[in-house]
Amino acid sequence: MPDPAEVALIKRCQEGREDAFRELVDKYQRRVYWIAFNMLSNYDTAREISQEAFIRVFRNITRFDIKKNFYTWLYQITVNLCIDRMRKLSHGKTVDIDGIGGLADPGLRDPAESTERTETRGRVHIALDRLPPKYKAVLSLRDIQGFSCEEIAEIVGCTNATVRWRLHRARKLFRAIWEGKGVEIGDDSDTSF
Amino acid sequence: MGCDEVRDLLALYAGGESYDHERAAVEIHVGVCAACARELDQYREARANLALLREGDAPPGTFKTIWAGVRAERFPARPARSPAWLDPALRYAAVAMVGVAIGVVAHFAQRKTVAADPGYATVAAPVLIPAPVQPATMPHVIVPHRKPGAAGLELDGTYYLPRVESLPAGREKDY
Repeated sequence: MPDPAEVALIKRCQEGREDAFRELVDKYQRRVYWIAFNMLSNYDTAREISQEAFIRVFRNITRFDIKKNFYTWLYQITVNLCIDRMRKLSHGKTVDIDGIGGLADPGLRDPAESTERTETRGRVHIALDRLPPKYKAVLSLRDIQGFSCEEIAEIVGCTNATVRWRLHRARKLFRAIWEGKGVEIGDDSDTSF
Repeated sequence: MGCDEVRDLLALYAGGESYDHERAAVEIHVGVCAACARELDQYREARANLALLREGDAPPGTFKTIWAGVRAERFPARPARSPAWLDPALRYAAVAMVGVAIGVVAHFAQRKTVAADPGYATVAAPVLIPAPVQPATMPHVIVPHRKPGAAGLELDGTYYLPRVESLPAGREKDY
């Protein structure tokens, strides 16, 4: 069940109140941004996609059914925008390696450890970026963002069984890429995305 | 369950998405199979590396620009309305109102001036009475007279309607 406070907030948005829109953006923008960033591996594109996702949400907010979860709708729009963008761009251009490496981890006091983690992050992004969009979406939503399979099914618009199948394939592919094994990333029978 | 079957379950087992019966089979198998246990560790390591990508640091100002972009799209700055005085009808109405106001002010100012003048208040205003109409001033009625040999009436040039008795007998048709 949606949170009553959030329902009230969405109703205010449906009335066109700017302060409510801002509150909603403040509440969700980080999550939306990181979903987009993990799928696109580029800070600027992630910011652009985040803005576009909110704009689309607000354009259609009057038609949103308040009995449903707002966040799954918002993340669904975000993921779909990311997939569209990934298909438009070639993969090599989306990875912002310099950008990823340039941001130190503020949670670590040891600079060497921080550098190592930053490098590992960069490698993870490169490996993720080699996955087809539909696998990348479920893998990042599950293993990075921590959504449940049911939530992912709602976000990507497929069944729970399809999510499990994609997760299975995505983890196998990712592990193979991570270990530097030659993997054939071709089309497979799952064409529902 | 053999290694091939168990390896097919490891990817989901590592993420905690296995069904109960699959989980039990995997746990029994990896307890006795080093190769499958190693493969399970690799899946776990891959997941741990992916978890490094959870919220990190975005470039400074990122979260301010998101709202700025959304706001510019959804709530664009409204153009300033043209001043009302540019409206021709209002402009003419304003001119007329100013004229009326000036008239009213001038009227009251004049009344105050008259009231403030002490001489004006004490001297009685002259009363102009028109002179009575004197009978002597009435125009003379000139009775037309017939000149001998004249064909009709002859007036002295002043005016007047002829009297009935001045009308020549039998000559009504001339009038």
